[in-house]
Amino acid sequence: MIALLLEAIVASSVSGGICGYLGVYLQRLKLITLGFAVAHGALAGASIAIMMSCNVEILAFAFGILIAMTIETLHAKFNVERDLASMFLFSFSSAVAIIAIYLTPTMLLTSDIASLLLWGSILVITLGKIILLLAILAAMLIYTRAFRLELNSLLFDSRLAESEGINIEFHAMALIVFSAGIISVMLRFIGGLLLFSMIFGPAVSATTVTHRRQALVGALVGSAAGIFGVLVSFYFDLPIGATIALSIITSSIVVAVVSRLYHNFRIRRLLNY
Amino acid sequence: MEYAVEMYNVSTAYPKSNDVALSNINLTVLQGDFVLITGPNGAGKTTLLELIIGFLKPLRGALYVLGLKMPENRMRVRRMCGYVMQNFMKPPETPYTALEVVLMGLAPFKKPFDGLSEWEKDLVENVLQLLGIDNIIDKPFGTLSGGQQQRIMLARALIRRPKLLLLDEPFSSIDRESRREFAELLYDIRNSYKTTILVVSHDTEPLEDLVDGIIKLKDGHIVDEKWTS
Repeated sequence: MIALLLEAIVASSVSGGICGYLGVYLQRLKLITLGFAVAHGALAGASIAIMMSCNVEILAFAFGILIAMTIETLHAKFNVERDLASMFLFSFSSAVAIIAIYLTPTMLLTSDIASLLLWGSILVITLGKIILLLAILAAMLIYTRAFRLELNSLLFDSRLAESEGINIEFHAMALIVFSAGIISVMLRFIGGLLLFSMIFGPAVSATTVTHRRQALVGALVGSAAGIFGVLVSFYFDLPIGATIALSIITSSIVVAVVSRLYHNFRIRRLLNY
Repeated sequence: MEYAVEMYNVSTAYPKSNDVALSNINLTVLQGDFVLITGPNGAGKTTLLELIIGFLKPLRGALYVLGLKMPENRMRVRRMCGYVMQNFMKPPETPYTALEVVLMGLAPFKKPFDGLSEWEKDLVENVLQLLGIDNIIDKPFGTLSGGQQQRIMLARALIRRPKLLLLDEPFSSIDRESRREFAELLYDIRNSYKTTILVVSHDTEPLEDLVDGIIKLKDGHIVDEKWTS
């Protein structure tokens, strides 16, 4: 039991950190709906993998990438807005996932398979998955460090960066590959519907707290809230994915409110002096 | 003498638009020229720059920038150009200092993990001194005035040592008194760096006697061209 708890704490800490870090980049590059569509693509892939008894992570990853590439093609070749294409394919992915779950030949109830994918389970955490998450985190840190100047230029103004010869498609695709990788590894742990809170909740905190080092703040908030969520889940025997999601949302609200109060306090002090 | 821009019967339109934005444009600009592009709102001035930088494709005709066919070579061309966009104002919460914004101009030339070389540091210092902005360089970019932000963006373009510098309404956020000073600065830059400069502006007064050519656009057509030599 203790071993399971420790694994869950490490997994939620790493996944919270990595999701928070990624979420800030996705939000600032206006790729939020793209991340949303990739996650649902991964959900469709995972559902098909369960139906066909294949490797869930690999098929989830492949479907996430496939959906992202379809969105980019619709955007580049047919001038369809990315947001619109994302929502269009979100419905498609959800429909595929539901049909695949319905057709899964199993003794379990359809609702049980659905709940495993949608709400997550602590039982799927393994040491291998923790190492995989750490490897993705390391790769992402190396990537953001290696291309720091280009990424900053993109975050500052993507149109200007494009006019200067920065390959926007490469960086968008790199972030999508990271998103698909993270989502496919975490899908059955956190659940397809709750993953967004891990990716975008810390981004909310980061934007309210600071204008600089937002990725770092996002990672720290995500990591801390992830650990807190696991502890609450164990203590009160609640579903782990939903508890982590609530923990992250609550933390984000608390961080935003405290940050606002602190800001007001500092301004009042400055005015008084 | 080589051409910086060559347009032969070029027409273009914005995606999803049923209107032609530029029609049958014939224009050649020599390398090292300082050219003013003017005309009323909606004439196609900004469209012309977007065509040159490769944001738009020629639907008809042939376009060469710095001797390279467009849009096939747009990534190579963009690396040789500097582009200062219209109405480029960022809010106070922009999380970068002015210096960081300037240095971003070097991003496409850097290999992964590359830092600044010594000559790049010297270049940045020289450009900042030339533009008179070395005293504001550590300030948050978003807290600077419109004119200061404009100069920072010009510095960002200049540290790229562009062969072709494109400026879209550079006087829009500068007060009337400082416009002539800024125009003379552009003139000095052309003379010092031998850079081809294309300025889009509806305000012709500050530049009129400094440029080599004035192109007047109206409704997507060139309606007048004046060259000093």
